[in-house]
Amino acid sequence: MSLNPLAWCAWAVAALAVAFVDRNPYLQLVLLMVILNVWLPYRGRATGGYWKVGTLLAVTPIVFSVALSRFGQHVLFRLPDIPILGGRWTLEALVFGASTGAALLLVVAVFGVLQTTVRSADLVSRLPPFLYRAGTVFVLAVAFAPQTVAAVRSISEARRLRGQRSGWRAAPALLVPLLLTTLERAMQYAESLDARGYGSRHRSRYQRASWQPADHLVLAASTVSLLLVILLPPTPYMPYQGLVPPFPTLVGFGAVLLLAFPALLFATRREHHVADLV
Amino acid sequence: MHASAHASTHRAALVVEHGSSWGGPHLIWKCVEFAQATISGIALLELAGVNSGQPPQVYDWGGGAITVCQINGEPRQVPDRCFGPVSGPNWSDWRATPAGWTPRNSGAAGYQVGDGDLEGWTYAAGFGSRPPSVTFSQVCPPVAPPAPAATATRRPALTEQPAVPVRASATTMPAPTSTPPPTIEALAPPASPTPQARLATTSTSRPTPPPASLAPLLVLGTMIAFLSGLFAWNLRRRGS
Repeated sequence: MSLNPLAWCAWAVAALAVAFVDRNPYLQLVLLMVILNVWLPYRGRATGGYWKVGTLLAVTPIVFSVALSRFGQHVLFRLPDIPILGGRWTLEALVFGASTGAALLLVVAVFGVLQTTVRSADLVSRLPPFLYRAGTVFVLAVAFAPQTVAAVRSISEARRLRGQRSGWRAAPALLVPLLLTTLERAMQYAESLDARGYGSRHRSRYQRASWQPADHLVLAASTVSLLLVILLPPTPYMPYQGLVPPFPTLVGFGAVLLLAFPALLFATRREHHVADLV
Repeated sequence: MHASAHASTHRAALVVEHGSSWGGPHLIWKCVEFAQATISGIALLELAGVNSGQPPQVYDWGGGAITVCQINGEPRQVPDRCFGPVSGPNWSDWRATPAGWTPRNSGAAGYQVGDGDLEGWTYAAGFGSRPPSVTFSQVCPPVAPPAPAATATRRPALTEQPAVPVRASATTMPAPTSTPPPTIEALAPPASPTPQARLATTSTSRPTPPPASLAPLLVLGTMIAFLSGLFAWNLRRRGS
């Protein structure tokens, strides 16, 4: 089952709004389950890196918050007067860091789902004509960083296979082949763009994506979820004012649950469409 | 710093400006006398008695950090857990410097007020508004030195000054509640009360949480069960 990229973008915007606005642990838990459900049909498309980054981002605020904040009434332990780290280490700071880390993890997870479900080329092709050139250049520029990292890895591996030194000491020796590889890739980009008529007046499309009823459903559910989060935001959770979070309203739960629509559509589709997923 | 009228008594001026929608007196000036060399900002509020003699509603962040939530009955209803919406009105603390009013960047218990200091509190939205232009001598006019015998028997006392409108918009004048006679004994305790004592006083007026209900937990449990079932169903279909 493939949804329209714009429907996925609407879902991602609504999910990001929920992740940013709802800092309530109950809603964060439900949103994480929703994202896992939506991600499940597309798992296996190299999303492990996103979860590693998300976990790292989730742990970092906990460490910083509990180590640097001295506020709170539930003292876990006290350290002697060491600069910066000395003093009371409190449970409130730990919970506040965990809440922030959970929000970051959710944001990364949303982008992970978007990465696995939408091709950047599909998004660029749907840009309005006056943004098409800028969008293409932007996507190529963004793709430059991971491709450079991949090039460094391949060059390092080639050096190891030849019995040459690897590691950070070999970094100067990598510069010249890396520069040549990057220039070669840039030339290939230019030739590809020229071969596809980039810059000509009319833009051609290989395949024009159509809107299916499922796209309308996902778009409508995401829009309603976004409006509910913006117009009826839940009570904010402030661990320093009270460790026990306030319980969200049914509206808050409903706004999060609406984001599970893509997973519901997958669950109710016909069996013979399974092959479309892979 | 202004010289104190008495060798053992120090004075600090306090200006409290209510919000624009406040029904009562908009501006209140108080001249607070105290025996200690310095007192905390929260102690100044308590000694001034601007909250009808009660300590101001505060929130204790732990570690000695205290935020003031209600002064002189404003806001009428203290929001749950002391704070309302972030963008809503709140009390902000200011200190007078030669360059004008400067916002305090620490909690009311995190700084000390000494003799001749001028403190201001305003109730406004966002980052607060500056208090009106006031000088220390307007709030605490110079007094003649008392007789030596009176000085020997006098303890730190609280004096109140009725507010005078210093801005055209500040037309309301607080009714002088009770100007203490010169011989009144100190309303304030000889030493600043401990934070625990203040919090014990203020915590009694906080709204009690409603009794816990099982309905929200049932809702959460149902949602988690539904999403877990959906995950298992999709996992089975994905694997098939």
